[in-house]
Amino acid sequence: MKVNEIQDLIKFVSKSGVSEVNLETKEVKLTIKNDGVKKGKGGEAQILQVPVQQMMPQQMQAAPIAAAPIAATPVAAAPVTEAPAPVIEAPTVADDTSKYIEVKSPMIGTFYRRPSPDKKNFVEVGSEIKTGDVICIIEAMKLFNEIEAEVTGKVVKIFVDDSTPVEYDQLLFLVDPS
Amino acid sequence: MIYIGKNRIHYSEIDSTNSELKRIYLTEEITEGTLLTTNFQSSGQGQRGESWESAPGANFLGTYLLTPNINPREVFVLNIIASLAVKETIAELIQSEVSIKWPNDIIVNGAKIAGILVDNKIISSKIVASFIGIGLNINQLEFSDFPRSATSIRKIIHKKVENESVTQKLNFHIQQFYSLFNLKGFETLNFLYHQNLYLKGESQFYEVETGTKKFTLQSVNKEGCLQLFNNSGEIEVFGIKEITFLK
Repeated sequence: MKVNEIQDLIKFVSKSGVSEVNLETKEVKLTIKNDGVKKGKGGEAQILQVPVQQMMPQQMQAAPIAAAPIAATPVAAAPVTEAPAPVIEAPTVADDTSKYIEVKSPMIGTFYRRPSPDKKNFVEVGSEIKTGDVICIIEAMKLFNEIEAEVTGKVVKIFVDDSTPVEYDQLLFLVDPS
Repeated sequence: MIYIGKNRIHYSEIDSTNSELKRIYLTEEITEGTLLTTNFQSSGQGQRGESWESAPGANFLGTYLLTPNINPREVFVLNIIASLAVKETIAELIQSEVSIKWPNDIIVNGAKIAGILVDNKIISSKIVASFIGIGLNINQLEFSDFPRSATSIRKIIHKKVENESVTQKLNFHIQQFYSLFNLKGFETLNFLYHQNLYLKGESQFYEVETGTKKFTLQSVNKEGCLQLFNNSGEIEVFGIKEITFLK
């Protein structure tokens, strides 16, 4: 997972009102806690990022890191003994993502990229999509919800792996409408 | 006022009633309340990746189109509307107690008699169409007992029942609970759902990630997750693939 993706995620969590996000990919297991949800202001996010294979018996606690204002605060990963602390640069505006449209999850559920396990993915990074195209399914307790594109454009990024749980308002796709 | 089931499409055989009604919805104008039925589904859907088996012509296999005005966060109410309607339909035909096994199977004497599968289309965080698929065992007598034993109305009352009379009852009850939801909202329906919830308040064994554990089923939350009391009296919350009923 790239550093700016983690930063985006922290920013998103601190803004969203979600109190905790757990994300597990092949390389990392990431937990972001947003205490600000309960306190109501000045959200404080804790991050914990370690390679999964090193997440062995003892749970490593990461130091709390101030999340807001994110743009001004260089985010430093917690110094953990086994995993080398990633060097994180101060956020710079690398690519212009402001023109991209964010597609978020309208509900809590399980994110599926394919109509069924034996079919191919609805979309890939780079796919051209148009309004009304099905881009994913979110299953919520035996209800299968086909999410349709609300813009025409190109899929720039897919944030969630197939068959993983998603929270309400979690970022799923970035679409370049141009 | 919409009339559930008034607009009716019937096929002697189709791959899946949900898929076919979805295809029709995408290509032509069809009214809310349209019911598509079939005698036989060549690839009937159960839960994702699982199939639904039914003897040809023996049972109700159909999908209703609804266009409900609900927030996607309250989407579970569609399971509630469908489960209550199917439960009432069966309860009118048999003497035994009928209950709703979370999230939406209908159970009589511990055996499954009906299943529900809902597909929704969502755009801009709005549900634009809901396809409520129902399989209700009416006259089928032979079942493979896996993963849970199954039953039918005929197996219980020892009498053949006209499929079409069951369809009429089902239309009526879908109409009834859908209207009730539109008039009274989520809470009223949620109350009725909980009144009919299988194993509610009973202490039973369940299979969870940590092994076989005893819980007392308490309720289903707004997102549709199952909430149970563990041995220490604390509430634990489970999603659909996180817990298996052993009874």
